[in-house]
Formats: sequence, C-alpha cells, structure tokens
Amino acid sequence: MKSVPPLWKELSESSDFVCYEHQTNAVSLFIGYFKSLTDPKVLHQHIMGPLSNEPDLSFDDLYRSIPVAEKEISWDWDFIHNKMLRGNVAIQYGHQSHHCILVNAADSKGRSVTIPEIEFTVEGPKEAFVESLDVNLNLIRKRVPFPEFRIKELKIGSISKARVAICYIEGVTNEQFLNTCIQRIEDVQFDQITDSTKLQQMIEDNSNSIFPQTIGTERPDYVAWAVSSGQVCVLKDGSPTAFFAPVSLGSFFITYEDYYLPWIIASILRLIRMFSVLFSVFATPLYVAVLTYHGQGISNVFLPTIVASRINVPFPPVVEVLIMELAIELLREAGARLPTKIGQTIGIVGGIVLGTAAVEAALTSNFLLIIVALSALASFATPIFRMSATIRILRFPFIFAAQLWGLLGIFICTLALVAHLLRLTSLGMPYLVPFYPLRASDLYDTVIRPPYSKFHHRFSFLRSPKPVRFDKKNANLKKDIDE
Amino acid sequence: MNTLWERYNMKSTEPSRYTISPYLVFVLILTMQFGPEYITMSNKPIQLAGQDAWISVILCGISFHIVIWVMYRILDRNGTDLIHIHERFFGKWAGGALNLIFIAYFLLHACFQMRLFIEIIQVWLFPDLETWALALALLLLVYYIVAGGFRVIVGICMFSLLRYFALFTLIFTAEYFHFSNLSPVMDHSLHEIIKASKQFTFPYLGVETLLFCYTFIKTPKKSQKWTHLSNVVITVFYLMIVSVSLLLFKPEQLSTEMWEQLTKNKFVHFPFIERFEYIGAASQILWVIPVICFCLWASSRMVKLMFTVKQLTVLPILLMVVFAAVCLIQGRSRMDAIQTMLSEFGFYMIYGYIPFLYIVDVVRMKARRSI
Repeated sequence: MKSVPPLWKELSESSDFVCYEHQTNAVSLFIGYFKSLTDPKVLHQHIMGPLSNEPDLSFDDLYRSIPVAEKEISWDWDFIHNKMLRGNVAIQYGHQSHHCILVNAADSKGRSVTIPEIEFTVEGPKEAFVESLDVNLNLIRKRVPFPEFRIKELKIGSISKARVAICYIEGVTNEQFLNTCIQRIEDVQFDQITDSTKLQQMIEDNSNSIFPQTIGTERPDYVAWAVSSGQVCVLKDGSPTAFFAPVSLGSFFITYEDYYLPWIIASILRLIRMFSVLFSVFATPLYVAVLTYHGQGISNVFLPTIVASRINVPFPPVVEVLIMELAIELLREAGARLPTKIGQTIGIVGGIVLGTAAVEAALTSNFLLIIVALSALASFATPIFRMSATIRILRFPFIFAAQLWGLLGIFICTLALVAHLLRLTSLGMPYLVPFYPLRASDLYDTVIRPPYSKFHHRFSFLRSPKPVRFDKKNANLKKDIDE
Repeated sequence: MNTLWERYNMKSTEPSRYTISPYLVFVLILTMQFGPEYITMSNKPIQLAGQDAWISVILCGISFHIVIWVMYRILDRNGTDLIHIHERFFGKWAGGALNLIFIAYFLLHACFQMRLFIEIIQVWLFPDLETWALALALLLLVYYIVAGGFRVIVGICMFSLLRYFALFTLIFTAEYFHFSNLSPVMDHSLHEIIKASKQFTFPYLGVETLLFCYTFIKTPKKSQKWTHLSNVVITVFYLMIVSVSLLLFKPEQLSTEMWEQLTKNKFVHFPFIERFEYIGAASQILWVIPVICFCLWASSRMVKLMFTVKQLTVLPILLMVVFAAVCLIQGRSRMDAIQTMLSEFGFYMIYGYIPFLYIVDVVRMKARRSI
C-alpha cells in the first residue's frame, strides 16, 4: 500500500481497485484502474505492451506510444477519479507528478440488440434499444445520418452520475422546447437514477397527473421519426427506453406500425383503437349507472336479456362490477409478475376457468363478464404501456361516480377529466392540441393516418423553425383521365 | 400614429400564453348565450305573440347584432375591458361601485344557473337528491376548471359543443308537427311581438361576457365577426327551438309546461334507449357548467383587479357564497323571482347601459378632441 500515490488512497479502499507500480529505467509509473470496469484485453495489449517493450520512454513519448484513440492528459484529480470510475486506466508518471495519462479501456457488458417485445410490430424493423447508451445512439444515428442531428450529453444523479443524451435536430426542433427539456434535466437533484422512466416522471410538467406527458419507446425507428418531426428525445445510459416530448394526448394512441401499413388499414385500426379507449373507460360505469338508476331507460327489447342474466346475482351492480374488475386486474398483475410460461397458464386458468365458475356461482352475470373482459382487452389496445395503465385505472372513479349519481355522475366525472386534460401541458405545449386549441392544419395525423402525400408539413404545434417537410406541389400531381 | 393595419392587429395586453385565438370567441359567446334557460324559453313569448313568436326571435337577434357592434366600438376605442373602462370613465369610486354591481350580477347568475340545473335533476332524475350535495360536487368541479385559467374555461366551452348533438334529436318530433299551428302569419300587433321580443332577451344574454374577457383575445379587433357569427347561429338555433315548440304544442298546452324543451325529449326513440329524457336532463350539465365557470372567473377577476388580491384566494370565497345562496334558494317561486330579476337587469344592461356607455365614450372623445 505504500506505493499507492496519496491521491489514489481513497479509491484503493475499494477492493476492485488495482494499483501497481511499474518500474522503468528512468522512473516508476503508477497504473491504476478498476478491475470491474476495464477490459483486460485493452489493458494488456495496448497499455502494458508499449510500456514493457520500451523501458526508456519520456512522458510525452509514452502518451504517443499508446495505440488507443480515446486518451488524454489531465491534472484535475476530480476529473481523473470520474474517468477512472468510467473504466479508464490512469498512468501517473512518477510519484510526485500531477499529470496523468487517461486511457479508455472501458468494458461494458450487456445484451445485444434484440427484437422489440413491448412494441412488437409485424411489419417494419425489429431492432429495440438495449441498456448501453452507445449502442442506442448508434441505432438512432444510423437512421438520422444528418449533420444537424445533435446529441447533447449531460450527467445526472449525485450517485448514479448517469449519462443522459438529449437528441434533436438543430433547425427542426424548436429551441424553446429543447431548452426547457435541458433545463429540467439539469435541475434534477435526485441521487440514484436507474432508468429513464424515473427521469421521465421527474421532468414532466405535472407529476401528480395520472396521464403520462412524455412517450417512452423502445423502438429506434420511432425515435428517429419523432426527432425528425421536431421533438426532443432523451436517452439514458442503462435504460432500454428512450422518451420524447412534447407530445399530445392523441399520439399515445398511435402505434408506430400505423406508419408501416397502408393508410386505409392503418386508419381503420387507429379508429378501432380510439373507440376501444372510450369503451374501456365508459362501458362498466354505464352498466352500473343503467342497472342502478336508469333501468327504465333501456328498451324493452334489451332489458330482459340483462335482467335474466343477473337474476341470480345477489350483489348490487357496483359490487358485481368491482369484483370483476379487481379479478381482471389481479390476473393481469399476477401474469405480469410471473415468468412468461407460468404467466400464460395463469392467464388461461384465470380467464376461462374463473370466468365460467364466477358465472355459475352467480357471482356475476354473463353480460357483465363480457363487458369487463372486453374493456380489459380494449385497454390493452393502447400501445404505450403507461397510457394503457392510465386507461385501466381511469374507469374506477367513473364506476364510483356512476354508483353515486348514475348518468349525472358520469357526466360530472367526464367534465372533470376534460378539465384535467385541458390543464395538462407537455413541455409547456397544451396536451389536447390539435383539438384544443384547434389547429385545423394539424388534424391530418390524429384520428386517421392519411397517405404520406398529406405529410408535407410538420405539426405546427411543435413550432418547428422549418415547418415544411417537402414541397406540397410535388405531392399532388393530378392528371386528367388517360393522360 | 399607428397605421390602420397596425391598429386592426392590435395585440392583447395579457401575456400571449393566456390569450385565445379570435375564432374561439365564437365558441365562447355561443356557449355563454346558449345557456340552460333555453329549456323554458319559448313558453312566455308564445303566450304573448302566439304563432308570430318566431318574428320576435329574429327581431331580438337583430337588436343583439346592434348591441354587439356598439360593444365593440366601446372596447376597440379603449382597448381594454369594462373593468378598466368603468374606472376610466367614472373614477375609482363610482367605477368600483359599478364593478361591484356586475360582480353581484355574475354571482347571482351563477346561483341561478346552478339552482336551475339542480332543479332539473331533481325533477327528471333523482327526486330525493339533496341540493347541497350536488351543489358541492359541481362547485368543486367549477373550482378545478376556473383555477386552470381562462383558456381552460374556453376549452370546456369547446367540449360542451358536443351538446348540439342533443338538438338533432328534435328530428324525432317531426312526425307530430302540426303545420297549421303556424298560420295565420302576422296575426299579432307589433306591440305584442315586441313584448315577446323582450322576453327573448334573457335567453340571448351572454354577449356581455365579452366586456370582461376582451383583453384575453389575442387580436381582439378581429374577433368581432366571430361574435356576430355566434349571434347568427344562436338566432338559427332559437328559431328552430321556437318553431318546433309552435309546431308541436298549442299555446294552451304549452302554458302548462314548465320546461317544454325537456318535454320534447319524450318524443325521442332509439332502438335500445327507451327514455332519452335521462340523457337529455343529465346533459344539461354541458349547458350549465361553462356559464357558471365564466361567471365565477369574471367576478373573481373583478375582485382581483379592484382589491389587488390573488384570484386564487378570492375564488373559494366566492364559491362559498354561491354555495350558500344555492342552498338557500328553495321553491319555484323564488327561482321565478330571480329569473325575472336577472332578465330585467339583463334587459336594461343590454339596451340601456351599453348604449349609455357608448354615448359617454363618444362625448369623452369629442371633449378630448376639442381640448
């Protein structure tokens, strides 16, 4: 331990820190690194190699002789410590020298790029982000080979010191959104940030809202599209999800596959998805409201079916609904926590066996079982995971309101929901844009996904300095018959 | 001196992130004018003018166009809202007193709207519902919306446009129309028709909101055409409603109806909805909430400007006042009295006070020029 230079003492408290003295003819070199972070191959071949072969090197010669591109000389000890903690090897020239050569020998172990599992699509590329930031940046950069594409790197978290990369295209992304985003990330005071989803929650405009205000995705193609539309994308080292902002409510109901399918098919699928959201939120509350208060409201044709199906059920509608909703949530939660194969079994056992048994035991009516199962399915049609969780939770206040005041309760709850959505913003952009404030020219890619000839302008609510995507005139070349 | 073009494009005095585009004035005014009082609108005028009530609707609509024009002359020339104009014209104390009257008017209006809605719910949906419970829930909702600011209120107005789907259900009444009810045309004297027009001022009221949100319009002068358009649309809607009332009911029948517009929902039949009245009655909330929100926003803003307090501290106090008042209004006769009071106040405000302000403005301008 005597040989450790005094400034490295602190680091050598840790058992994975290696420091040894390398005696040359002129002077003794100290070599320090973290065993757990460095690649032994680089260390032995590119650092120890030149050192052992030529014993009479001066400091500058030594620096030049190391055949690694990422190397530098520094005398700032904080900087040196930080670099060593990121896998650099430090070489101190002599016991008293204040200069160190830092050579990058970082060895990052991680998964290789795989197929997206959360946002799987049948069409389109099948690459998903992994935990390594450099791999992720590579996945994006190769889709945006554009000189104005910028990556700004920050470090956040007093313990995690996580590398966070903010990607945008200069001249396409609005400066105001970019600066807001950077400033919010810089202001994060948290110590350990392990994933970008944590960061997401910290920088969102209203962290008390159940609605997500940024979209997290694992698809590099989606990120490339968002960046080229003028949004700001944030990646964090160690996280397989990137997120981008500002976003509006509508974009949560878009899967990226919409852009890979022909526009008519994609539009119809999108409409089904929007309908499924409404169904998922309103179906069970309406069941409660109608059966509790407005029984006379339903037509005579329809009423006997419902009454007959729940004639043996001893509970009031709201209890029946809550039992079923909780059962479905339980199944989902259990399925999500278990390994895939057992999870599937649980799903089948729970879904089919419990469902039938519940009806036979007169715990619930057939009719409700269908509604609850459908609305659970409908909530999974929402492609962004956080939003589909929101949709699932959202129906509970509605159920209680319906129990309290029937249809009126649902109306009040809807208005409160709309008011909440109106108050939300994403990086300062209204959440309900382009519907409110109405931007007629931006309605093209919301409810339907039109043909690409209609995409000639970027969304005006993203306030891009360069709003034109391509010349509109070239898109609409219309010829006469037989010409 | 500014050029004409620059003056036309005059920007609002509020920070731009709180302002609305001029076209949204259409949505705002439409929602404010078309309040829940439409459900009882056609009764009294039809008693007065019979089958000629539709002429009164048009007359009243035209007179409101003139009032809108006058309002814009006053506002455009002063470039600010009525709260500041009052102080500018009549000094701090008299102006303040006038503002206080308007605060009272807006609060009373909010109380009336809320009590009316609760009454509708008690009659059509839940006879046992406690007034205070629903009032509390609605006022909490109102607080949440108003605390979001003016843009959120206009957003709620925009969302409430969904209610016009309910008006399409008037089609269902078509098979019961008696077209003979409409003739003979011009059977009533001009006096009767004008008296009926006076009855229509109450449903038409709502343009006065513009006096208080003028500074929140991004380019206020461009919004005039939208206000006029809103008035035209309202006239068309009211014509529709009054004509359907005429075609469906004889005046004698109508005199026994309290809310004839809700009665019309009984004609609606869908394959799986037996009683549309439930939806019709509950959907009245879309008529009520935006108006109450605006009333409270305007009155709390006036208090804020007069006494330099935070709007967020005033708002709960005003809401409590409204809550107490709503709980205290019991019985139909009180409601009728309040409605008469509001409609009288509205009538004199629209046809007396606003022209008066215009004259004061013109005189002031003349006086200043002569100096």
